[in-house]
Amino acid sequence: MLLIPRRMMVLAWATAFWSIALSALEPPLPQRSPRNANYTIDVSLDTETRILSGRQILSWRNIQQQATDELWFHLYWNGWRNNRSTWLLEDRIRGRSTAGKNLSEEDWSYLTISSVKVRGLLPVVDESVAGVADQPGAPPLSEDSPQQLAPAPKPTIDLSTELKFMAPDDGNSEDRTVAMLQLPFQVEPGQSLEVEMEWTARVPRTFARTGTKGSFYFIAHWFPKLGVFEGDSWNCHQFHSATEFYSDYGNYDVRITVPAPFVVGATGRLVEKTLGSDGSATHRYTQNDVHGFAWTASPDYREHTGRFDEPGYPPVELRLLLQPEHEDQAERHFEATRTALKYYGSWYGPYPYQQLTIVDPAYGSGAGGMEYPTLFTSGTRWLNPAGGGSPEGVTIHEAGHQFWYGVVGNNEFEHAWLDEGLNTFSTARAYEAAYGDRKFVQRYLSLPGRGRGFLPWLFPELAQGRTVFGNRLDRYRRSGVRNRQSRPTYLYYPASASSTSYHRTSLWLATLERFIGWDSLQEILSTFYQRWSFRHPRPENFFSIANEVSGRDLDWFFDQVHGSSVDFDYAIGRVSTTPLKFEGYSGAETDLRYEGREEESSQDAPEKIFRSEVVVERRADGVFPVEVLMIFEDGSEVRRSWDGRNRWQLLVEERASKLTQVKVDPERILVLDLDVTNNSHQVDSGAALPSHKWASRWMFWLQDFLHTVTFFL
Amino acid sequence: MIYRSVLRGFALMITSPGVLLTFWLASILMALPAGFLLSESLQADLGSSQIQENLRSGFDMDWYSEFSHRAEGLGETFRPDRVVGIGPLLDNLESWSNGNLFANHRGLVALAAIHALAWAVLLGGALGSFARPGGSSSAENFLALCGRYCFRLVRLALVSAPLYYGVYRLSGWLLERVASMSRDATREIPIFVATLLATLAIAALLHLIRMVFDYAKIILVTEERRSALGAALSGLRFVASHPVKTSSIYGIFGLVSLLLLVAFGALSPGVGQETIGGVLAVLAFGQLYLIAKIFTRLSSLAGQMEAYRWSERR
Repeated sequence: MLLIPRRMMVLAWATAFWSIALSALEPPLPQRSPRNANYTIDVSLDTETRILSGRQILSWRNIQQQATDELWFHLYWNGWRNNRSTWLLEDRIRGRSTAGKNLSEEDWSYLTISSVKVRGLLPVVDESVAGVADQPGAPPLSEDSPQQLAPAPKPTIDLSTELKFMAPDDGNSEDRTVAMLQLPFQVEPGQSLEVEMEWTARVPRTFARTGTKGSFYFIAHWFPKLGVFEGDSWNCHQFHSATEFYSDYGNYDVRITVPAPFVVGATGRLVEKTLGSDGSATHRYTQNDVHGFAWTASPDYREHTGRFDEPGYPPVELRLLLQPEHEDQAERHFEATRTALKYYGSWYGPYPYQQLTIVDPAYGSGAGGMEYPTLFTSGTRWLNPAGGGSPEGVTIHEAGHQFWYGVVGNNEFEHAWLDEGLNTFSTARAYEAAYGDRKFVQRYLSLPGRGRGFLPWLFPELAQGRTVFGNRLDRYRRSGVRNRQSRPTYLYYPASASSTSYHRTSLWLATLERFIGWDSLQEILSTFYQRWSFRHPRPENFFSIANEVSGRDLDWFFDQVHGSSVDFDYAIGRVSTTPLKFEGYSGAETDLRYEGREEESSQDAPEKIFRSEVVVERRADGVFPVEVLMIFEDGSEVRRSWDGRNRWQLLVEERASKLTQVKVDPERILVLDLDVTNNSHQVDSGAALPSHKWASRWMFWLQDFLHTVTFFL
Repeated sequence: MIYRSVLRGFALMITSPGVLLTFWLASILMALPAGFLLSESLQADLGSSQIQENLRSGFDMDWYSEFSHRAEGLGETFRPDRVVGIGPLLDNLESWSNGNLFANHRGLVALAAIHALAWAVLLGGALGSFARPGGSSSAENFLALCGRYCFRLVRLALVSAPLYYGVYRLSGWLLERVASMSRDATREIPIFVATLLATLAIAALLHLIRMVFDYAKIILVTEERRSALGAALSGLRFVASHPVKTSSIYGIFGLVSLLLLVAFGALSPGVGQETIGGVLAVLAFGQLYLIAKIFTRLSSLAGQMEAYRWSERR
């Protein structure tokens, strides 16, 4: 609808007849990041051609101890430039080929940079900030610390021809998601520079929760974005189907120009809105101490505002952009967001920003369930019964990512489990605390290719609890190919990558919670959160904190769950409990007496002794210490500990009572155990009744099915 | 006339408990072996595990997530939404409406085919009995009538099959159209309404075809026709010449079926039966529903036969 030339844009700003300044400056955060990658961006959206035109100034400071003469950029949207990109080739392995999507020309995307200018080297402006990323527990800095670039001569060098596409991960020459800019000089530690870029991008039909559908736009990872300079090299991976993102923290000042009727939501806070004379509106959003910036625009959004104002927590302004048909679910979105802010805040540390935007994406847009700094997309349906887990589950999860991803900014290309796993575990815990078990929902009346049906039916009798469903043991079991979690995430088998990052981690954290106790695990997680806020932790940082805080050496555990791909399965094998009848000779060597079977019936026979033998087995490669509980007919119980190392262990009890039940891992400490059915044994098996019960109910379904077939007769 | 036919249909069935019992027996005899097989499969999976306690007092979704991972054959069709509350009926209704009855349960195709054949055989007996004065018949006569009409009814079913197939193809095309037309739609409600209307239209078509073929069956039996195609055309002519009457009678019986479904949903027992008595009570409740469903279906045929004869007499 609108293509706004830059001159018009400038004119529009200059002659704006309506402008509001909501806030001149972002309020200070309790802590702040190194702020070494700061962006000022002007972008306009032409909704007719789906083209974004952008101009950005990146101010980057080298906070490492090594110099560099390169800058590496992510050009994420080139991942959907053609079906030879690494992203789309990997997506095929996940079973999501583009072939069936009927994509037309405008559905693909690209990101082209037309101009690159470097404005020379600037002196170190803030010695105290340089290197902060390498110093755990660096003291909070005040807002007025001089992080702004000092005025200095800026010799401009045009490097537009110096950009080269790189494929550091797989050498795919068709992949253009990474570009390297060769600088004609070294950027020494502590030095800064500015890079000005002009670029154009086509908004795709939604891929990876980014793009457009109808008049709905969700724009994420949309601008040339600097990689992370680590040590002496750039960490700038190609865009992969099963991984997400990694960037340095900085301050963002973004002006977004869209048609005036569009409602805009974005990372940060709206500080200015200016109406242009051409029917456009420019929305200026700013946010400090974030590592990305996403925005959305749609004329359909209904805006709701709320507040998280729990005693003991810093207040947070909530902004909810809802689809019109979901307006009756506004409070459910707010409540779920508050749940995340409350529980994550109390467990790990408070949410440090002063606002949070919740976006309810358009139906079928594929943009739901994704996190961005101070903004996330949830996702719901027109009909969504309370108790079924949606939209509360996804809302808590994505709001939770503000902590694990937003504040603790791990490298999602290499260690996605650090945010996804910790967050999946936390989501399950927070959901359970606030809502209890979720109930199974089946949806009916579906449209081909549109996922689950329109009409939900909630089954209150079918509870899906945290242990299995919250931590996603059900999905993990089915995930097929296992990955060693310690491999870089982008090298995981794409089809089971999320299972390794999300589910395996959540399961081993749940196991750890039960093994060392929640208090200890919570202290580990909160210490990790606080030490690594606004920084980039690595797995070893987590493990060392776990050992330090728990006071135990847990490496044996991490070596298995993270350092290998082993599964866990303990089982009760053979069980017998039989009267031990003495037969044979007894007595002193000189007075041997023979006791035979016939003595059993004599009046003065000793009390009957039962010998109970239990073989406990380790049926998978994972090793974990377990308890075995034996329950006897007289109600007495015996607990035995087993280090779980051997493939099997024989446990023997001789007592005057028969063994009736035996359980390995009776408290289900090992949530990672894939087969819990084989964890217990009941001597007098009563499986017939429940089997008949459920088979007879299934038989009723079968009869109705057979009767349904007779409709045609 | 409409109410007379409906009442006559019910009355005929009330006086034919043997017919009803035969149809129900056919249903349960077909399903029982499969039920036992599944029970064995569940028992084998549970073994001596204490998980059985959870399944005794309710449904254990944790166990089910394990079982479904291991399940093979019939076990693959065992799903919680098919064994709890109104779920089994909604599941079959869904499969019927989208034409996925066999796509969803390929392993059950053979069983469904045998049951369908049995149904066709028995239907001949039932219709033959309804056509006789007084509507009742001895077991011997019933069996003779089964044999007399079964091949004709099977032929008629084969004539109707391409029509049903065509409707499902149309359904697929229609829903694809809805999907492609709503490709850029950002709201769910209009797409839901379009999908619902398309589904209702398809359901209406399916029922229209069945109504025509119901009268074709009636004509085949009452007029001792041998040509299935001819009977089908006569059925079509009859429905076309009495649209209000035929659709009203069909609609009333359809409404009764719907009420039965709602009643089942409202009254369906929970999952906590821990004794064999409780299990049998739930089984009986389900069988009662199926008997009522068969009763309604056969009553509708009897009612339609009454309407056809009344019209023909005039």
